Amino acid sequence: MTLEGVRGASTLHVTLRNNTLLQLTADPLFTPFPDGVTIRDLILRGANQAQTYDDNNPRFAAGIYGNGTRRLLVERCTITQMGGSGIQLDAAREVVLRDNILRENWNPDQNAFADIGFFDGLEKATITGNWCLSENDTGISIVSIDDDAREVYIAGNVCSGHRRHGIIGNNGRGIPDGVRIEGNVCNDNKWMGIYLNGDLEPASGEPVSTGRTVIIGNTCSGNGESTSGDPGIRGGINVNGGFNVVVEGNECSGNHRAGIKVRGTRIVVANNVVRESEKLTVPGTPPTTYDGHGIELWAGGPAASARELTVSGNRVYQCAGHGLLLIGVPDAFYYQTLPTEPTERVVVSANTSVENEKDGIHTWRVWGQQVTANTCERNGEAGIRVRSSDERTLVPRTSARTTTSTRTQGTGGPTRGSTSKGAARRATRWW
Amino acid sequence: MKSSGVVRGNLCSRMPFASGAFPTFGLHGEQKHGIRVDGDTPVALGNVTMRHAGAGLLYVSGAILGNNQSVDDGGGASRPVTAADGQPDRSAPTVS
Repeated sequence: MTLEGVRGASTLHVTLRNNTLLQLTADPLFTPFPDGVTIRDLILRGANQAQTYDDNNPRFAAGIYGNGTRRLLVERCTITQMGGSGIQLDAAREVVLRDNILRENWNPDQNAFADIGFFDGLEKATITGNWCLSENDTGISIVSIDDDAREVYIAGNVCSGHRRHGIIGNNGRGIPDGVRIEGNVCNDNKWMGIYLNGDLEPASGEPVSTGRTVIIGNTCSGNGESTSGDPGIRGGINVNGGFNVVVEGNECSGNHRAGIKVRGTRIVVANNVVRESEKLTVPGTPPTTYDGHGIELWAGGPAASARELTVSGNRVYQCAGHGLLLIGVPDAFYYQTLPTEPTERVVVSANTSVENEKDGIHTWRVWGQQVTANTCERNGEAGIRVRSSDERTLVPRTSARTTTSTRTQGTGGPTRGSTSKGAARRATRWW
Repeated sequence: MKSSGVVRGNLCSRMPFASGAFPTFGLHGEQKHGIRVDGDTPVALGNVTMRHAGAGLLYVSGAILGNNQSVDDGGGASRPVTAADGQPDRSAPTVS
């Protein structure tokens, strides 16, 4: 089926704030999936009012909504003033969204509405050349609970001015597989430019080739100024739990807290340019001020064998904190019930760190690291500082895999608990 | 079990700059030291430090040092960490 208008002249208008304009919905139990739909050169306009459903469900009042959609092409459409998301697709496969403009879909609910939103799995999708400019939660969202995104290409989009993120992947767990985020411009979003929020490592039994996420050549600037909500989730690019991730060739400038922030296993951060990260001051009594680091890497994690970090060829300038900050294995005293394993195979090489407020390169409890051939100039404190703990507070590696024992660590440390991922995740928020 | 680290072949320098010209932060202060290693059994080999107000290389007991070069570092080429430098900081980083 093809629904095609005259570019710039054909408008579909819905006047009820709770109604979706083009609904491709299928209940997968009773009806066939929508298959083979093209929507082209249309202006889809809503009622310019937020929907009134109590649960703020993005499935309602969208410009386009589909469930289980196959082979959908949406191109050169303008979607505006909807009460919910611009395009919302659940469990979609083989989707192409290109060269669309989404603006003024301004539903203010924090957790649901995106200009382009996918939920419950996405497979084989190309999302290119779209302008996502609404002041809603997220520009492009591929969050998922039950299924990971697979083979998704997000390129050349502009995601600007959102209440939280420009682009977000995952929803606190899972490993997106084969996601490439390339050449997007994400600026002036209140939390993150690009935010990938998954697991630290694949579930047992999954192949080590899982992941393969590439974040390359994006420009992220001016993100993270919001002082509401979790202040840890701020900055240009944030991989909060990732496996097999490459973050390369991105330019991040003027972001709050960090230009690039990464935590996970088998991560490469290379050839990025980061400049002028800014501090974030959260009001309170007293107010809390967080540094604005250039590149921040968290190698350790709860119950995670976080290993194989490569930080190479990056250039970091004039950030209001450390140029490169690597944080390794925490001690049990601080992280309380969380068991840990040491980091291994961490390489920091050939980076340039210049005129940052604190150290050029600062590592903290990173084990087995190689800091080689870096250039640090005119930083506020040390050029390179390798900082560690007293060995008495380190968690011995031999006990790191302990799953059920109860013991104390260090000076009156706390009791250990389960090492299961779920338990660890429930026990604390890391970011 | 001790952690280990190798700091090798890095160049750390504080080139002269005009007073007040330090960008972004105002005149925050001079770079203190070139390299400071106070991890467990660190290794610092073949680094070049230049023109720091403090020492080129600060280290703790047990560090393995070799072939490091210091050029015009005001506080000398290398010396152990002292109480005046602040002892190894075991405070936890900010987490949120």
